Amino acid sequence: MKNPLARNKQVGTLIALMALVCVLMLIFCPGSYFTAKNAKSMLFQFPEYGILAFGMMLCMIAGGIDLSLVGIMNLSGLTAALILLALIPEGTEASAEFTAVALIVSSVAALLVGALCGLFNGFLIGYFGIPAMLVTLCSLQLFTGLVYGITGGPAVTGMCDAFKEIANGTIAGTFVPYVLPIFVIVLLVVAFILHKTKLGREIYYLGTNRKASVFSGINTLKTSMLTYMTSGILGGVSGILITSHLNAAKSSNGTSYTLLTILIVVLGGVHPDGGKGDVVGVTLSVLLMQMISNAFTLLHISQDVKNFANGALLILVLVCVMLIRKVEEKKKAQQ
Amino acid sequence: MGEVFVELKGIKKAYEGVYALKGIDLALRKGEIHCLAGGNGCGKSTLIKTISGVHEPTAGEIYIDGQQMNHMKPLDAIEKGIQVIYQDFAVFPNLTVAENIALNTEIKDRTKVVSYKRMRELAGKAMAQIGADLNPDARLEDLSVAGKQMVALCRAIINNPKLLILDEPTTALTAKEVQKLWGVLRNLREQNIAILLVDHKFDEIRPLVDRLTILRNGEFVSSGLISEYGHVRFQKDMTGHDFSTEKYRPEPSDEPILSVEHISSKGNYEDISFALSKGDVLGITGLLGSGRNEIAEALFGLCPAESGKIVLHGKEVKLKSIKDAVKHEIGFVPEDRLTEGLFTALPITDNTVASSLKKYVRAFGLKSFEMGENTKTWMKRLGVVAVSKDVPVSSLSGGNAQKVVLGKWLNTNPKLLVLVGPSVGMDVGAKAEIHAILRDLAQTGVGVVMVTDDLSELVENCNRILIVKDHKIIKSSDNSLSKKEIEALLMGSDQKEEEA
Repeated sequence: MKNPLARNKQVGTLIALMALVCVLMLIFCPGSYFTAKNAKSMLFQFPEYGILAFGMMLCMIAGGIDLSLVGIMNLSGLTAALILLALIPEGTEASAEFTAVALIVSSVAALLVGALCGLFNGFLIGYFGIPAMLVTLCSLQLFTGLVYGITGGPAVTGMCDAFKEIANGTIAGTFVPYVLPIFVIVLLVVAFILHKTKLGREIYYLGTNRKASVFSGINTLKTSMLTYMTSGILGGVSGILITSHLNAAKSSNGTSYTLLTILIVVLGGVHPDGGKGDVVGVTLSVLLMQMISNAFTLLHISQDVKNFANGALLILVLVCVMLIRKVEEKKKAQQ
Repeated sequence: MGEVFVELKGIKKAYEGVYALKGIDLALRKGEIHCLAGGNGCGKSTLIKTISGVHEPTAGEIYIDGQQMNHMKPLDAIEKGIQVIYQDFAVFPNLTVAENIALNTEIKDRTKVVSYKRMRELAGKAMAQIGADLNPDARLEDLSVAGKQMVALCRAIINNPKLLILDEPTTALTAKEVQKLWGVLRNLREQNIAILLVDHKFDEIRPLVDRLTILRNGEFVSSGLISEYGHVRFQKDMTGHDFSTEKYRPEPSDEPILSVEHISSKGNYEDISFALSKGDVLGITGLLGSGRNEIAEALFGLCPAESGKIVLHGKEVKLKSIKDAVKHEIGFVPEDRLTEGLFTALPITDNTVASSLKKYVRAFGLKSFEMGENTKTWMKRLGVVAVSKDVPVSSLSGGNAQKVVLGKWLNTNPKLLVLVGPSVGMDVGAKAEIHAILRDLAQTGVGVVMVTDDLSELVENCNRILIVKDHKIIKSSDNSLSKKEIEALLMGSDQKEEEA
């Protein structure tokens, strides 16, 4: 499944880039970057889009892409918010037990909505063979439109304090935010699915050669649906986190994440043609992007410029990926 | 005998210190068809690329028209009148025949305004010269492989070549199409063009070529007039050892494996019946479009039967999809192994377990170790030559890659194995190995059904033969037929076919 040498190179490159960011920040603003406060703020931020990036990774390894992740995130976040508000209306107090039940019910509903969105994508892609790029671009509009239609524009707010705690609270007595263990659990589950299950193997087969997968007796429709469903569920997890983090559900949350997650995944060694990449590379890439994004914030660079930089970086990375492949092909041709 | 046009003297070519060509001499004469033959990796392709200026030789001299060439580039070769037609033809599928043929000239003449009239004229002239008859307005994607090849030939001819090189031109052609191509090449020989052909099917080239050169592992083995060669010498020079062409004749058995009764699928095949007992290797042959592939596909749920019944090991089975076929333990080796049979970027192990993942599922994760062990076992039993089980399949030769496809299905422990073109594009040695594997499988009770165009393969390995024409079986035989008789049955004058 992986070439150890190529993988080590990838990991090495990512770690070198991280070191580079550290060195640059040491030069430009040593006072604010290397502080406990900054480290803490970084720990709060990356799980949200890191989890989305894992969804993107699964779809891209399977030879597709999931552009609808942000839409799924907002739709499932809204679901959680509405159910929670129905159970515990704004301004009312509830017992600890009832709050816990309400949190679980709303979270499960959010994940369920994410799963359904993903199944919808996976079915269109697997059954009709419509390119994933088109299906998910359309469903992004679909899901975003649904959120807008339900909220009518303004954000849904006023969820109970316990809900806010999910993304903003820390484990009692420490500076470790709840979102960190959540991220680690998701990471382990995704790694297990990808590297230790039949589905994971089939994702690699599908991404490497769809036709050969069919001819090998692999149920490609099922694989597609399960892949996008998993991606949708991960979108749901992110949806809960971002809604809690901002304490608001609306259609325009996290719109910059689509580009960011593609950048993370490609930088993490997932090939745009599918079949290549793994969890280690993508995890390191998530951390690297968090460091860069944080550095931008400290240097007072606006979100628009960040988006510009991310776009430029993605093109640069893609050019590098293609150049490397060209060199490799040339080497192969000469053998 | 024509004058020498291209002469190579002591050509050597090394890649990173490894010699792909170890001192080759070759003389190509005008008005002569010269065949270059050799097993996979013998250096044929490298030699062609040297003549066409793609690769510069490490040592040795190249003379064209008596003039020594130094640091030759592809453009120099083209200017000298050398045209190469590669295996994939490099045609544009979305353009028409006329556009494809005239494109190079249009670019060369730096025409800014496209004139379809001129393009059609150019195309018509080129087609007349080689004797092809294609609709100039047809799109390339709608043409058969043979049609695309004719277009590639026309495009080469339009440049008035003095030497035409064809790299394995017959790989994807039916016997009839090969005859047509030979007619075109004979016609070009009359026009005093030198032709270099890469091909390693002796029966095919014997009636056409004048001279033969055989390479092995980058070394020159022998060269001479075709009349100096016979089957035995050809095989010996190609592989370095003698092959017995003993026919496969198993002990008759009355243990039935498969029985197909009157299956039909409209427009694909009609009223097909045959039976297969333990030990049998059943061969199906027919011209392209005769329905021979569809019959094989029916057994894998790709082209399901609409009526009739299929009985496997005494039980009637419905094969409506690949899922059904896999459920009933049927394996399928497709004709195009690289795009349909293999995950070339993935290691041998992943390819071997692709159809049998279910076996390795356990409560928590997959049994990776067993995957590796099973792969090693198959590599050993099938004789896959590779550095290890972890190298990607793209690094293997055609014969070894096909063994991996076989391994993938054998790892599912199939009852029936259906193969389309089991040894297409392989050299004599690799073919013999694949055939030995199939015979062994049949002996151990796996039903083997193969579709093949290669009549030698058919006659030598199949003890039961079906000949298909116009979607029906025209002859079912227990292999008392000779190649000549089969050819006659296949060709049997059919006006409709001629027109098509």
